[in-house]
Amino acid sequence: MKDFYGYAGALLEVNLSEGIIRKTPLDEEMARNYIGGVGFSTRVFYDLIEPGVDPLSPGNVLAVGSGPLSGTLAPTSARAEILSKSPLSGFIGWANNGWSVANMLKYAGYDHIAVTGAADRPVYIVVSDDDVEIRDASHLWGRDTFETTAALWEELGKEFWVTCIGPAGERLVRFASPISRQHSTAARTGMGAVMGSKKLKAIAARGTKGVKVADKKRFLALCEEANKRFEARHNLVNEWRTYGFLAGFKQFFNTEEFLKLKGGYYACLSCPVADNAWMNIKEGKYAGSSYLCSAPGTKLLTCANTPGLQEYDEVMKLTELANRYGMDVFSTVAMVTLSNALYKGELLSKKDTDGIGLADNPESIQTLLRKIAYREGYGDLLAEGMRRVCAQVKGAADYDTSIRGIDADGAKGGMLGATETFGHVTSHRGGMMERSTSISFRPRKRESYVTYSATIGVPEEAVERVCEGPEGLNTPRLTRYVEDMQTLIACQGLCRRPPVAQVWDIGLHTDFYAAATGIEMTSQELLRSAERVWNLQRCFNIREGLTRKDDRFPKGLLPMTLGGVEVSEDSMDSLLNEYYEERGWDVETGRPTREKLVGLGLQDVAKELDGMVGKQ
Amino acid sequence: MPAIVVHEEKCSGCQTCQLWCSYTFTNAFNPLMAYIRQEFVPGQGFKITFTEDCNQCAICADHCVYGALTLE
Repeated sequence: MKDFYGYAGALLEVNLSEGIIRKTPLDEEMARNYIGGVGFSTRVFYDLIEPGVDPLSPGNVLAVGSGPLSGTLAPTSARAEILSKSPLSGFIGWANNGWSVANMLKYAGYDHIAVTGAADRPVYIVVSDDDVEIRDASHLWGRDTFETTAALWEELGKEFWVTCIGPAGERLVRFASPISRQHSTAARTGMGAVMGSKKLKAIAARGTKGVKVADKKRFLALCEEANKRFEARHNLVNEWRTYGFLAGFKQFFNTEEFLKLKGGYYACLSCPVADNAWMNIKEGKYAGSSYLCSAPGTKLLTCANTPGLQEYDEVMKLTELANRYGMDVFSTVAMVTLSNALYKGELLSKKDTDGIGLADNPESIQTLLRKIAYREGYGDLLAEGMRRVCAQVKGAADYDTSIRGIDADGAKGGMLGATETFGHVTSHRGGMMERSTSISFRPRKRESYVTYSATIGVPEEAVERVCEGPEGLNTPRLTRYVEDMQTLIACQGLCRRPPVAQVWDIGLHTDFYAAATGIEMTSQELLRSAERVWNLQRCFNIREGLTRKDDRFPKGLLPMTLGGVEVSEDSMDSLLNEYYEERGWDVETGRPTREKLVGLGLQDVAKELDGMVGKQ
Repeated sequence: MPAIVVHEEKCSGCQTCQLWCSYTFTNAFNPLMAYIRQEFVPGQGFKITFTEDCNQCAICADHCVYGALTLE
């Protein structure tokens, strides 16, 4: 078996139907082609899953992996993604968090774990270095995520990292989320429901093996260089450490009230920013409550327009409850908003809503949350997620503001920025900007986009057309390159939040990858691997029936102006054409061309898609 | 030799101290291989201790950007 640097060197598969545990050595071709993290997950998932399986059936595959930089001193090397077929969209889904069990799995010797099949009774997977076991979890089933984690720490020791589900995941709430360390949420796309469908209550891991790097001297010099870059941005870092996501939106919030609740800061592994926080409620009905909140500003932003959630202590309480139940707080708030809209629109009555009617105060909202998490009465309907509710309630179709089933209220009107909003449509997981965050969240001059393009490796021949438009950018074309860069960040195991992404330019990625792994790849080769991952994810969705017509903003999110260009149902076609063209995809169908796939070394996938011609 | 002083209230939990320690003494990264230990205490923060093998070399304090470990 080859000795790897950067990587742990092995992939793990746990088949819960058969109780079989397989360990496969990593090979260098896989490392080069897919880098790690979500790249490994995408390839393993694509190969193991049969087309057309129900996301909540044993045939679905749950994949979690770390990157080659994960668990090292490379700043912010803590993020990991959990990937599967989403029970909300029926297409590929994923969610990331900072305290995922993936990093501890790496210390135990595994770069990646794929969970296949389903158990016939509740189980959890425990990994302790070379020992991998499937254990009975009947004593944990029914407990919330905080209780489950505490029970596993009691049972196994606190050195174990735990990722688990709560009552929402057990009941297959379609937006259930796995939770790590009682706060760190892999929030979106319903990965917790997939765990629940496999009767997988938790994965717990402890590893005592070390991660080695190929070139020690170069690696440590790069760590110093990266840290210097963070120090040079100390004003921005301090803003984020103090306000987190609110740093860019302070004018909309009462920051004094926020700081009254905020206790200490809190970081993920190797992170010099620390934009997570202990939230300590000192007064009122929750006085004495203290808990850890991942990026509290995102929760305040999400609830900013929600009646009943205008007090910040209520938002924190809601977040705590959602985390305990193990469900996506963003989707949860979207469902509360949808429920209220349907009630106001007289599409649902008080009787339909178990007597709740308008949930516009903290008590009724918390009641709805509980009903959803336990699928009680009316909650059973809301637990199905936005698309299914809007399809089921007569006359509600226009209330569906999801993109491929993933609620996307944040994109309304384009307030998140140009690529940030456009990427909601082009992201394979739908409805979120986590692969399209660039610098376009506020107006910039063209020169800024030219400089930025160089930092993310936009080829010189493309810069002119990427940095062209009324506001200095061509939104669809720039989005294509941002997506590849963000995919590379995810493959490496790094954080993508703005103060971090600004430090990690393509040169730093390239140098770090070589120093860690000893595998020399150019910047363009690394980005090509990220592009390969992106294309493979698209091909998965196409294999599941996705067509060009799925790449749309719902009416409820329009109109909007992105990069100075109006986006409407009519203009969306030409914007998509530009995006597909920049991707090298067939403009008519939105599918990667055979030439593109072969060029990326995905001959097997091209062949499979060729076989589908005429079937759609 | 200056002593390492711990200010737990400033600890972010980033474990950079542990990664520097494990790397310095074992040439590999893993917080569990470090001579400085950090325990997550729900609702409170972090408890920091040193194992008996720690020689107080202070590599951890040299690299704490949060001021949770200082030399006095």
